Amino acid sequence: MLDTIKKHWFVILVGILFISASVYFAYDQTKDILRGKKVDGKDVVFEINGQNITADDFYEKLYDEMGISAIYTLFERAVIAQSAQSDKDLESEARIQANSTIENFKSYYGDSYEAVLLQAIRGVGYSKVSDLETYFKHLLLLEKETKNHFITNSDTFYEEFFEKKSPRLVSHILVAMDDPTKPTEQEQARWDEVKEALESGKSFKEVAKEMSDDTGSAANDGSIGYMDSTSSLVPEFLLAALSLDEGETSEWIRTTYGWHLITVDSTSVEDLEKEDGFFSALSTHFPNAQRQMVWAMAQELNIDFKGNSEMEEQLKVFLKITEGE
Amino acid sequence: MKKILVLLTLILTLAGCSDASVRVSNRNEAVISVGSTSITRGQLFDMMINQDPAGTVITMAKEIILADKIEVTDEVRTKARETFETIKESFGETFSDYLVQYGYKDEQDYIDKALIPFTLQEFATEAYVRENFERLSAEYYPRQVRILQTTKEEDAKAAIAEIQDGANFEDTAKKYSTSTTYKGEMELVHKASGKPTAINTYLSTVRQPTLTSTPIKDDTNTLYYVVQVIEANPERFLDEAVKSLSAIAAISDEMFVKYFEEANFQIYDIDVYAGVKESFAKFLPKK
Repeated sequence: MLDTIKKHWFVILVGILFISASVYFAYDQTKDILRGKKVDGKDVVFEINGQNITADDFYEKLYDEMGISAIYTLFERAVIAQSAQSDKDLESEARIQANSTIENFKSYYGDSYEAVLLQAIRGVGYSKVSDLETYFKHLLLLEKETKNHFITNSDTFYEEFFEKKSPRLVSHILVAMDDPTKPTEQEQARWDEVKEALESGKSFKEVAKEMSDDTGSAANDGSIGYMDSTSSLVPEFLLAALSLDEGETSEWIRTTYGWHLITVDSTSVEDLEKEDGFFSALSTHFPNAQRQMVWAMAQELNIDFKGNSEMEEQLKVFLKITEGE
Repeated sequence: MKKILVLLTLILTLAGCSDASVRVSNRNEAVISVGSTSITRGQLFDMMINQDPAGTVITMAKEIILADKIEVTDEVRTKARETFETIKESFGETFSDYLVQYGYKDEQDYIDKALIPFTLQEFATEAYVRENFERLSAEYYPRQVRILQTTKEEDAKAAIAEIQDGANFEDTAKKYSTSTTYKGEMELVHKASGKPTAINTYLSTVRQPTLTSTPIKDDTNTLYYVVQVIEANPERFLDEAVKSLSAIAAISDEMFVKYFEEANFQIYDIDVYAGVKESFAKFLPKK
């Protein structure tokens, strides 16, 4: 043995140094690693006061707090994926939204954006950043199906909605003033110009486009698009806009911004159905409509609750589904 | 030689280990299926744990600590029920929708899962404040005071003179105070009451009932204060002082930091650990 060591001392020395370096390397790589723990074969999430809370315990706790809404999220996704038809435009839009979201996260979070984005994606039931496109595809399909649901069942939804919300498409011309009760000479002159332009025969749209001080709507010939009785508009504007019928134009209305001329472009179903705002407002007014639509679609696919009647009951309560539906 | 190679392989394999990540058991077990898609325990767990893992862990850990420290007595249940009635009244008709939205089966479920733990925390914090009253009252200097505010120094001086002559503080406040907040009513204040720094600095030095001899100027603006200390010894209004100090979030945090350390809190999932480190680092074991 000693002879062997004497003969190969250099190789043995190198070997010892190599093993030592490996051990140190392994230690250095693992010293900051978070160690796991198992109890009776189950992963432990945390330990306190000598009590081990396993992943199964944690699951029960989380399920208690948010289980049904989590089930619904995955349930809805499964239903839409199997029931709704996608197309190239929708998939292209999903891709655009996914890329835009990634850019926004990068811009806000810098180098750590991926970890934050990954957690956000996992929180909605996906597992990787590349699932973002699938997520947006789902949202767009859901939006499309919901729109179709409202249109197909307009008899059920529209009468009440129109009666309670007075939806309409509205345009305006604004002459902005610092104190509309006391126009300055310049402001009055500007206002007079607008009035003269209208009186000379120029259309509302032309005057709005060329002269309105609300530059955002001016770019759309004065159109502010969809509004209804719950829209966030100054009270005087809202009241005036709701009091008009289709095609009517108001007198000059004073608000804190200045003086407005308001016209209702349309109250027709055909025109309103072209506006995303109309369907958003319908969804807000009928908050259970979308979920109940998903439930009806699921009935076509067959639902199996795996014998868990309590979960079935909880899901129905969550969806506000009454007995027999 | 073979043993050395095996040892080396093990060492290097160990070096390639990654942080722990927990998985629920039976993760492939379907919870519900619709059409050709099954939703599994694993999918549900992964989704739920990523909603607010750190917050949920800390909440659970606090509940375990509190259950160990405070018993759920009739007094606790009564207090929880009182809180429940107040909340229900403030929500009105939408209360049942709120319960459904947040996953509570019924009102008792909400009391058991949300309000009993909340009440236990209140009781635990009060007990902690009583145990550490001397130190906390020195740190937060609770005082029973009256305060009035003026915009002019001469008004503050005139108010002081009138009060020294025997005028009622509240009546003097009505006469000189420019604030709807400082009406001269008696109140219990402390370091964390949100009073201007100038008032806090004054109160921290007062050990006896007294009236400011000169107006207290707020250096951040042009306001002046007249402060009358009714009682400077918190032992003389102990219960009120304990209740007031117990409402300070920093004291409740201090209590839990101590209890988490005593309870040897450890986390065994990297995502949960990262979340706790970001939002609740004070509860992590000190290395």
